Amino acid sequence: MVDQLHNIIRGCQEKKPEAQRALYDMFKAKMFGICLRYAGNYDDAQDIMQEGFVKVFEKIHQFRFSGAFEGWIRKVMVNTALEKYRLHYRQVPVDENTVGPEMEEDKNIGSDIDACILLKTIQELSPKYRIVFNLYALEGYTHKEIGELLHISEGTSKSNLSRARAILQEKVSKIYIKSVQTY
Amino acid sequence: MHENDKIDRYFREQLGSFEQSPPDATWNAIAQKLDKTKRKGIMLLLFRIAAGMAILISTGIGYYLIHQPDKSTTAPKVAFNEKSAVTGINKVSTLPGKPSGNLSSNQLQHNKPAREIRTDREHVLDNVQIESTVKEKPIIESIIPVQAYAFYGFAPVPIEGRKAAHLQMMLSNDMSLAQQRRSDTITEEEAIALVMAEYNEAFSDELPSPERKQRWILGSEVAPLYSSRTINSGSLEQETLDNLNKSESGILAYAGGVRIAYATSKRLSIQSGLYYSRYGQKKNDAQVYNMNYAGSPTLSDVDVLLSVTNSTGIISGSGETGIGNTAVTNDLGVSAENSNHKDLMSYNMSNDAESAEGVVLKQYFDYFEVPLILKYKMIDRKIDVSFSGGLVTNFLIGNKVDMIMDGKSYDIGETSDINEINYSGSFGLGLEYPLVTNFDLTLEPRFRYYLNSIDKSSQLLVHPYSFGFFAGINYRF
Repeated sequence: MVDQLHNIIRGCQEKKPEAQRALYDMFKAKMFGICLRYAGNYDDAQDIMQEGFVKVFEKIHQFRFSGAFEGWIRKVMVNTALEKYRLHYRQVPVDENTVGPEMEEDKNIGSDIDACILLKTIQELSPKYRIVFNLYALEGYTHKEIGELLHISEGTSKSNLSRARAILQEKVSKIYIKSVQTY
Repeated sequence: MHENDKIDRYFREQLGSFEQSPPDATWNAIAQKLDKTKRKGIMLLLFRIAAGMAILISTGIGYYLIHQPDKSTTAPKVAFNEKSAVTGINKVSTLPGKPSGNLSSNQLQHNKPAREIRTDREHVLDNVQIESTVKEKPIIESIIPVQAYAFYGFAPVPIEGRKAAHLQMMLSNDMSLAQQRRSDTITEEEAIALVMAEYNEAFSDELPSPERKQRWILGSEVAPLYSSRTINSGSLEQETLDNLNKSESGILAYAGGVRIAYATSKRLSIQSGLYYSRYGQKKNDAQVYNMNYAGSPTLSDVDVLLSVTNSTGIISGSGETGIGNTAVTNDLGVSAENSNHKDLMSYNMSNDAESAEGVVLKQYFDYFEVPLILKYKMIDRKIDVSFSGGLVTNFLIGNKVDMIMDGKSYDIGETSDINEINYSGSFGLGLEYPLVTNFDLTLEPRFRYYLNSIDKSSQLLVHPYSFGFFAGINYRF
């Protein structure tokens, strides 16, 4: 499997169209899943996906086979999403000192909510909350790193994360209650 | 915080490995963009080659047009205004048995209508004016300038004031002598040569330097130069470009080489040669961290890990610097394209307070260069002034990255992902001063700009440029 991937990557480094298609088919579902999390809607996710894969093919000659390729391609996708965010949402005012409400313990979080519904709750967040939540909760970045990535302060990153959590918590709770009531 | 972790973990578990297939149209759009990028790259290269050719051709045409009138420069027909001065000359011109109508066909060929001649020869003598016909033309009038110039290999020059008066005097006196001698053995050409020789002797210090017969030039030159680069991008944000420009700057480097030139005419020459040049740039915002490699078998033998976001190529380490357990980066949170970043983020780092400040990374690029330059001499005096322009092919023969830390320089690696063959345009304004016979001292400020991006990425276009002050010596042969 690894050898097959490396052969495909080498083919892409030589700009062979069949190798590019094979690589796309191999990672398209995973990468589109990431794009959907960072985008506000399906169309934006498609745009990120397109730009991200074009970058992957343009930059793939830089891949030195020293690390995991999936991590590399994932990072390209995330960075593409961030560039798009910076491009379109840099004018969005930032609440520097607003710290969101602390989370209250909620036992309603269940494991049976459909992933697509959860995805929708993330997409409905405002861009600044969505990006920070994705980077922190799902990618594992620290607030310092997020601040440097988005050119905001650590405090703003924490504030945005806190607000995102509160909104998500509220929405998940409502979804859960609604699903219980239907039974 | 526990609840916060809970919601984070919940979403991570539910969406961390979420997958969904994109619509089929997505791939078609990607394939189209890739094809467009490829075509754009080819078109850009063709455009730059065409631009270079246009410069060369326009320079050539410009030269041709400027020099075309010189081709019509042939024998001027002159006559002295002042009757007093004409006397002697007329005697010569009407030598017994040598009427003007007996001019040799060669001489007659030099005689062109006055209208044409005036444009080239208005300045011949203060008190000499051009006649419009060959009829009754004294031999001396037809022959002197051309034959004299041709005989001595001089370029035609104005003869004015004192020189003209002296020439008239000589002609009056010496041509009479020549006439007398002619009755015995002397020919007209010899008589004229005698006159011009005397004239030359009298004004040897004021004569123009003989036209240089040497057409080949072999020279060498060296230069200190300042090199930097321009960057632009069709896809990156201006803010990103601004940040790169703020954190990077040019460096002082050097160049040198040998050249060979061939003068196709007095003013135009074409030259080539082989040069060695070192260009580069520096990154001023690097930071150094101590890294903890404990438990990292894959990194235990790496002493410097690099993750630097920069404009030109990828800075990658050689792993043999001897510094040990160090990470160099200018941004802990970015560089998705740099796979080292993943490794860098995986290990504990402690900021080394002593070495974090004032760390500079210098990227050096070494080239062999083969120029094809056209040089046009604008001023042809004791100190010549020339304009030169042309194309240069640059072959990358090496590169390295030095880290300057605490006043010490460390060779930490090299720049990858840069083109090995590049093309640049070159423009210079040169001075040339004769030192001794056949040797000239040359000084030339020269600007060079890369016509193609040296970075292989099509996302960021990096065009190095340099400004150097070349000094050298030419040998003419």
